[in-house]
Amino acid sequence: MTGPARRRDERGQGHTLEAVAAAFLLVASVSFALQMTAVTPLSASTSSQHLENQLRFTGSGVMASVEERGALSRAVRYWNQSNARFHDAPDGGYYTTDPPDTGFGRALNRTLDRRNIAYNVHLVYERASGDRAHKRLVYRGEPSDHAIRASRTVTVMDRDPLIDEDGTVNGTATVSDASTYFLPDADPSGPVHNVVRVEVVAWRI
Amino acid sequence: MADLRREGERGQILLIAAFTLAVTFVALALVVNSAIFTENLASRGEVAGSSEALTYQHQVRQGVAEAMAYANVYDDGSPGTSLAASVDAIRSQGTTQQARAGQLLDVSLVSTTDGTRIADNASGGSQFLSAGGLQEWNLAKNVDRTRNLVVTTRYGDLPTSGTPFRLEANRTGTLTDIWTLSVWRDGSDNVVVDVDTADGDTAQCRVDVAGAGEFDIDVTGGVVAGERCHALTRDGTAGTPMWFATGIPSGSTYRIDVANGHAIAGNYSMVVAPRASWNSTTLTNGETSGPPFRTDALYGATVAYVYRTSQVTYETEIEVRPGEAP
Repeated sequence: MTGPARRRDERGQGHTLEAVAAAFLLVASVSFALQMTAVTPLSASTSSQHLENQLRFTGSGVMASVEERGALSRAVRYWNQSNARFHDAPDGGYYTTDPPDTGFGRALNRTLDRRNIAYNVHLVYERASGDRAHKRLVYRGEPSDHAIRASRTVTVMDRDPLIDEDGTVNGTATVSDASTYFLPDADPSGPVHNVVRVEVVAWRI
Repeated sequence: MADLRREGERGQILLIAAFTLAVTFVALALVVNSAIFTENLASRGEVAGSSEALTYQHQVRQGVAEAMAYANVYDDGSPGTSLAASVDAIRSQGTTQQARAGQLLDVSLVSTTDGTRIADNASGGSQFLSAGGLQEWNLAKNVDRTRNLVVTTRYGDLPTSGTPFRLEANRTGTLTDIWTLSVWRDGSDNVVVDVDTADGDTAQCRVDVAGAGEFDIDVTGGVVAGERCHALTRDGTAGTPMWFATGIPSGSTYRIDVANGHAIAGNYSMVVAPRASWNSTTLTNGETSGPPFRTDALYGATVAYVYRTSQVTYETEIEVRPGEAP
């Protein structure tokens, strides 16, 4: 009697082991199958390329239209002389929640903010010594892996006027007069003040 | 014993089934991923990045246009030297900026076209009279080309329909080939722009300027107070061209006349070529005198543009003549 009884016990252990192994296999297979196509709009993978393309074209479209209207140059010159920062910018010197109230800022707001796309705007320029310098215009944090970049270059001339808070041209101060203006004269002997690269880095959130 | 053997066989079947499943999943993963990757490749606009070459070309054109405007207004003593210095700066700074993106570029000034800037920039505006006070006068003659012809005014400074302000481009040696622009206000905050081309086509546009304060009539650009004016571009229905000096054959020159200059007030400016086409009896020479005055200016420039990346080499010459009617 002991023999068959022991066999029955052993069969119970075997079934348990089998069940555990089968469960493990099932769970592993399901998680593998899910990972195989695990693509959400937020995951940076080759399959979200469409979204990245869309974002890239949106970004360069915004830049193109803004540049065409001359609003990009005005956005770079939207400077508050007495506070030594962009008009209405917080203490850090760059915008964080709302973009600047310029044509450029409004265009970014209309096309990116309303679609839950976060973005940073950087201004890259050169000093007279030839060093590269970099200033934040809008900063919303570290971009994710699938961020895109769109950029345009703007030429600022020595006698280009600063832009007042209400968007009108300042009648008296030019970029060369304003001692607090962030953009140095990279070409002191010539009429060009500086060539600024405006870069928008955008990503979905 | 028979029972035990059967159970052993079941274990093998389970194992084989598990392996088959695993292999199937791996195969499926390969198929799905290759499909995704193919789609990804197919949906990339263009791999080589040639659109960047065109984008940057456009930026160079914009930059040179700004430098040219600067040279014409602030360096009218020697606009050519000023533009050359600017192009050098755009080259050196632009090259460093782009080199960091793996692009090599070169921009150099090939040639410039001399012209004359004619303007009235009296602060607060003035009537559009000649230097001698005439209200019907000739501004320039034997003009080949005109660009950036912009009139800045206010609604209250516009004439009524009885004495519209007129600007005419009249083909040299004829009395009939005339392109005429007439501007007046209609009494209900609209500015009316009426154009008769030398081909005999007529069009009118009406733009609401209520509360606009000072606004621009960009004659060569076809924009009135920020809105496109079909009477200065193409007439809506037939698509007839209406641009400045339409109907005056290319190759022939024309004169630019002002009529009813006393009825309007504001500022204006334009660049005409060739340089000698300005009328020395109705304009003063140099910005310190006048208005109206003329200064030496650049009408256009040709810039050589080279763009290189590891995959694209692109070379072209860019014509920069900002604000020229097509």
